Amino acid sequence: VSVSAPSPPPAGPTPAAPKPPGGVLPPRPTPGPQPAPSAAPPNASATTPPSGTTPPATDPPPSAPETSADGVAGAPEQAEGGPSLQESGQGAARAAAQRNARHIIDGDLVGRDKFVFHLDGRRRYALRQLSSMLFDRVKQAFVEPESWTQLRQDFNRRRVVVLQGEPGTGRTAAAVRLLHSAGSEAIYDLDPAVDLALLTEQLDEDRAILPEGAGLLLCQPQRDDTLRGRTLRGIEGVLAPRQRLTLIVGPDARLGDDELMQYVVTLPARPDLRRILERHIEWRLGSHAALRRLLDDEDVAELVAEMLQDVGSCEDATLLASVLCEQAVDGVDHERVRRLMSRRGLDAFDQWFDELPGNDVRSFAVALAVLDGLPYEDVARASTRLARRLASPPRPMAASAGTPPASSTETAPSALTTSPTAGQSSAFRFPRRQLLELTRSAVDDGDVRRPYGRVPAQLVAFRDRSYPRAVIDHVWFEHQVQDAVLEWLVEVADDRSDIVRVQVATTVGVLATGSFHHVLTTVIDRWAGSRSTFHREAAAYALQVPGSDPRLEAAVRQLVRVWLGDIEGIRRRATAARALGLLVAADVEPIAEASTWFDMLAADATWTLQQEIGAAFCDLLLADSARFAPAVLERLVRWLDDPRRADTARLVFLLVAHDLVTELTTEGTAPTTWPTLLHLAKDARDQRATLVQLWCRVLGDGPHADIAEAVLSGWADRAERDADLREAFARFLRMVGAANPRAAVILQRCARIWRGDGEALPLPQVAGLIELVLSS
Amino acid sequence: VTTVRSIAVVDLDCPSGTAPPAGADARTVLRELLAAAAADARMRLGDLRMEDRGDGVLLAPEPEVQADLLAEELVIALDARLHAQSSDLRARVALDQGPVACDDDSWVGVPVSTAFRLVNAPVLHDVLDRADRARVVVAVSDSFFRAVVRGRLDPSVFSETTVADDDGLAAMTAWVRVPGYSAPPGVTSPERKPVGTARPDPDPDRAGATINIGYVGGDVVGRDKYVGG
Repeated sequence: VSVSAPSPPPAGPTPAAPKPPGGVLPPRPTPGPQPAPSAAPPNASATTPPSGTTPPATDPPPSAPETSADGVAGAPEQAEGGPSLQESGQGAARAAAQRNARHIIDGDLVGRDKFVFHLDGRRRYALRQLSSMLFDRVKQAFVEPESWTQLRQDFNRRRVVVLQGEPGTGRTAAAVRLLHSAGSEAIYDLDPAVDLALLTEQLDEDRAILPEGAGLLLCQPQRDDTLRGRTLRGIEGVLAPRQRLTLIVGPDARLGDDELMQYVVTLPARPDLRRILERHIEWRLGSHAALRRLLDDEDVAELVAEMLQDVGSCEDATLLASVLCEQAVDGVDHERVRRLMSRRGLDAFDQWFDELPGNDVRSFAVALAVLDGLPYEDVARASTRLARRLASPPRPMAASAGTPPASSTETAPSALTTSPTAGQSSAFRFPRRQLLELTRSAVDDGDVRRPYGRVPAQLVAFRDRSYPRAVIDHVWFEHQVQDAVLEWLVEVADDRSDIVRVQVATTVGVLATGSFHHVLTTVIDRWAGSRSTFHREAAAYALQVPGSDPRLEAAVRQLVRVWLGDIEGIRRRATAARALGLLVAADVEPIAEASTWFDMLAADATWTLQQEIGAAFCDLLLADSARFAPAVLERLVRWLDDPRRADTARLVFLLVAHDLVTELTTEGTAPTTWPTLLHLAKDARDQRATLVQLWCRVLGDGPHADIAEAVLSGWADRAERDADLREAFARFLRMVGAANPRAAVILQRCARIWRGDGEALPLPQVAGLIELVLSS
Repeated sequence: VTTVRSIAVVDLDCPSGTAPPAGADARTVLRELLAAAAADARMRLGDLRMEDRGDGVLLAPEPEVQADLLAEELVIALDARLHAQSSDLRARVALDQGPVACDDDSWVGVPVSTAFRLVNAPVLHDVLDRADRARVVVAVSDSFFRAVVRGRLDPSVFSETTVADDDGLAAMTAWVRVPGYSAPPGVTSPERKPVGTARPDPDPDRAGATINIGYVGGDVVGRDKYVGG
């Protein structure tokens, strides 16, 4: 649906045509010169920040002229001439893409397999689901130590167990296997820094949050001084019957407490390392015959015997198995095996990445880290772009605030190089199968939404959910390619796909947590001042990541305040509005304080600001509708009575009504998609009257009545396809019609149009029902 | 008279490309192996109530015989006996439990049908093909797993799978184990799949683009948010 600029109140309402099923392709912003803002900039008083939140007088953040941000090639630009609506549900779609992107930050999917505990004041302890690679290794190739049955029995006696054992004896694998054996259906890693006393309190408060069969694993607690029998008894008391906590400690752990000793289970000696090696090789190569073929080679057998003499731990044995298996097909290179094993003291992850053969494969790994879970072709295209950039002669990233880049590419060669020859095309060198194997990734069949509908796609992702964040951190901190990576991210961020753009923005946010000033000045600030809605949105998404980091929270909040008060920079204010919503949604910014800022922004707002406020309100409702809906709707009602804010209120309300959808799933039936506000009116009785009032005002007040009717037609289109939705829609419109005679007249006209008089796509069921309820 | 019993069906198998013995030969071999295994497991042969069925043998042990002994001790003993043989003979074992009746000297009931369905499931043949150093593969029904394995045995050596057959019957959940293996090769447990292969759904309309107003907190459908504090 695309509608025209604000118009004066119509003499007689003219309902908009119904939306064709499936919606109209969104009127994407088109490149071109930016029209002048349609409304006058807010006056000085409008930009006065709320009391107590005055922007800082010193050390302002970078604020390059906004025009400087428009040079990003291919950036879609937002037409600012007047309000228009994109495809219905877009707000919800963007927010979903952002949620999906959060696994880049946390190493796992928020909301599905990660828990965040707020302990110790503001500190958050992440509880991540165990690496699937580790779990698979333990599941498929575990070698039971001596007395395993007895060990299992001892372990099963208690729900909280302290496993004590020597390093290198396979303690973690044994703990995982014991938890699995005890029935733990999902195993979570606890942060070693966790304070057990506080954990008890948190588990007690949130006992319903953890899954019933959750197993918690705490490896080498940093604060073993908090290990007390009484504490463990407390934890055992708050765990549900099938929940378990296992702590792994070394032989030197301080276990002086008598009561504590009843929780301690001592691990036996490590299993035979050759057995571990063979089990892992057998599992990796898929058969015992393949294991025998490899080890029956005399040279390999000799090498293995030599390496096993040098191997000191179970983990080393699995590493040796992994190294041998990677070379099993092409023949074992003894020197390479020795070299890799000699580096085993280094971080295994770093070793894996640095041993990837060439920039093409490394670029694929980096692109996958950013776009993990997206279609293979998107990742491949981004990978090619990165490889091309790495092959180009290095050039410093332009810094909008004149800040020199934090690093230079003119350094010693590293695994990721920017040498002109390093990235030479080798399109056919690595078939996909090999590429996936090398990068420890996998492809799954799925589908993806494109502008023309949902289509099958092959989605590629790392097998281990912790890899995206680990790869990003590794590349950023271990290799001198920061500028090339940032330039590449900016290039990929111009992709027209929401999901690609949001994941790139989130990645930029992740980088900002480590190099805030550099990333802010070179990317985020440029985006914030861009004429492109996409760029501003990317800036807001990116800022939310450091904003949620306790170390950077204050800086981000201050930056947003400076942008909010920037009366000359309408685009940065728009970006700030969007960021404000995201920060409130992330519990970084208090809603009360943010509301004052929104009041300020809403006065005499231009369309650019209005749409960002609308998007911010969408973000709030998506984050927690029960919590934020009253505040958001109350704000809109209040603005409607204020001549300087009424226009903003109408447009923001319509954006929210249009952009938010709620998918309802009932077992055994196809999901139905409801307009969120209609669902809210149906289920949240306390908000119903407010929603009726808002609809009466936007339909009856005049300005933007055409947009209101277009949004309503979108609702009608969804209602035509679902009986429950249709009934709720009719009930709601009856209330609107009863509350406002002018709105009733408009609704009756809408219904006539929906009936199909001259329309190509009538909505007869909706039309009949609406006419019936309005006439009764 | 209907009694609740464990039911086991044992069938002989051979590595791919080799035909296992059939008919009376197979039953004789199997009975001898089972008798030896029962002795090794310190179980009385008479308590096992063996019955010839096709090329295999059905066991309907007396109710006093503990199901976990059947699923663990007897299976391990059978595995050991098969390993001790000079031939390449292998065995597929399926277990269920529930009410059964003896009708004309033949055991009938749902557990009997389930056990036969499991022992003939293609997934068992496939697992045995992949587990090339194994001699036995075991499948137990979901109810047997929950009632017997979980709590009394080590469930971590089992992997969940789905058994479908050619008769148009609804797919059923089964748990597979290969003695001597940490996990049955080639079986990816559905319950672990979300961990290893979970993908952020790239379809915003479906994956979370939506909020569930009906849920307190307005969380995402299908992706409840767990935030403490």
